[in-house]
Amino acid sequence: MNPIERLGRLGVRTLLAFGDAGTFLAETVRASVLPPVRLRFVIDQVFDIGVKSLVIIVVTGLFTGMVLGLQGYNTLSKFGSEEALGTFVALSLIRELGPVLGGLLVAGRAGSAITAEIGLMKTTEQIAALEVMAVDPMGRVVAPRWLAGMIAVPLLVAIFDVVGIYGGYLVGVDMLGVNPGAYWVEMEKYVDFDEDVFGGMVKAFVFGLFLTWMATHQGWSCRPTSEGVGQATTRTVVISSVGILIIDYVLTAILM
Amino acid sequence: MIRLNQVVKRFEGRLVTDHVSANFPQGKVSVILGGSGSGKSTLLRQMTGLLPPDGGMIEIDGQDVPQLGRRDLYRLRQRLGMLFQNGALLNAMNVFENIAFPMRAHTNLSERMIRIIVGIKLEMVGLRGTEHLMASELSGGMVKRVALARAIALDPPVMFFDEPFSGLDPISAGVIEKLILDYKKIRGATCVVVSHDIPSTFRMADHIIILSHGRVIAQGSAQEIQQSPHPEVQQFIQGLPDGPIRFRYPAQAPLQDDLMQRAQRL
Repeated sequence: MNPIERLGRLGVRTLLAFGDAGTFLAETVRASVLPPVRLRFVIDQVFDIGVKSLVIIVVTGLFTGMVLGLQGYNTLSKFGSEEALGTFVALSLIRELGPVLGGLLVAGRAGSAITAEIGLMKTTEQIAALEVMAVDPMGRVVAPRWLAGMIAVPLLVAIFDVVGIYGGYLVGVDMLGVNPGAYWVEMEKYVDFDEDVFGGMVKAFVFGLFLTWMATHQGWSCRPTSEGVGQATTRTVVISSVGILIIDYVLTAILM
Repeated sequence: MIRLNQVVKRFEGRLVTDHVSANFPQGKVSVILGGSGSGKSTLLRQMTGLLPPDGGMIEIDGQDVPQLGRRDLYRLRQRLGMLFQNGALLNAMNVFENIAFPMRAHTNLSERMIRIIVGIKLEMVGLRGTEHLMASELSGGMVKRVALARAIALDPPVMFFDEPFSGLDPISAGVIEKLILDYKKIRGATCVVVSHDIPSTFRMADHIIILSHGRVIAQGSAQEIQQSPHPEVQQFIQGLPDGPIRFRYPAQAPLQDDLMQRAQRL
């Protein structure tokens, strides 16, 4: 096969993969909006994706905020602007680090778990069994996870932001002596709800949609072998992580 | 009544179901026999609508399965039951929830009634008292018996069994064989069994279909099959390695084999 043929084959394969993922998303949307409403399964999945990711989100959020406190103080003190530390920490977290790091953490923890679970269900014919029992597996297995991702990720990101801001306070105010009033007042003055907080939540929502779409699709379309499930799990983490960073740039450009 | 007419299925250009035509009489046990890779399970998956055929007609109670829309297919499936080869129990649920699953999905039965029916089904497969166990806590034989209890939870008039005896000890296999016969007798159900177990097939089958390389090579009653002059049928039911059904992988003759040539040079 010559290089042009190889390039053509790669192009066709890529288009087919995009088409497959797009069709899968359309099927997921159909299963999500059509009755029966499976609220209980969505709540179960919010627990699995959200509550079970809480520890990792809190710990990472706290230390990210603490690092921002240290770095921010170090830079701002050179210009005598230590009181702007609260604004620096809050804007960094709310606009960028909260949604991106939160999304990456959920992709690594919950995304891979979703792929492995659905892949295993496929391998052990549980998906086929649901089909034969006249229960739509898209509605029973995929849609609740997808909807839960869009609910849980923004909530986790909000927690990440709050804990991070407190981490910045611990370092900046309690350890380095920044005025506590200035920390909060400056933050309140310069952090805009519509532009910053809402923008950050939009990002978190889109990341939740994207990573659960990728995670469920990889599990659904994996080869039904243990090796196939393993490869699909790796692909979920890689595609979700890279995708989140690319989408972050696009959303930032749009929201600015 | 289930009817197949010229059903064709290809995987990557290879014919795995080669113009199969067969009838599965109502209220009878029909067994699809054939060696590994002969296309038995693929045919069963096409009959349940899990796999679309590339051509031909699959008719269950007058409905052409491949032509059905999603809603009609799901409506038909509520009257079908299937025992999967490995049970396919839902891992996230315990035994009780697995058997209750089809009832909760498709009926308005009260929880009390569901509890009673689950108890009856578990009693039938000899596993009463295992309601609280998770699928991962069951042995292979127990998984299959629970899966059978789930498959017959709604008393479907059509039952499919994919290798119901594989990997089972003789007692479990005997229990399942008796259950299939009892289910046919009491429910009047049409049972389609995929198997390669010759003795149990001749004991329970009203109708036998033998597949080889995706083709039907013989069909009829147990007696007709036993008396069939077809060499492939005789080779299969007698379990002989040499004959028209290829057992050995098509390699070069040993002396032409590269390894042998090298050995000779030494």
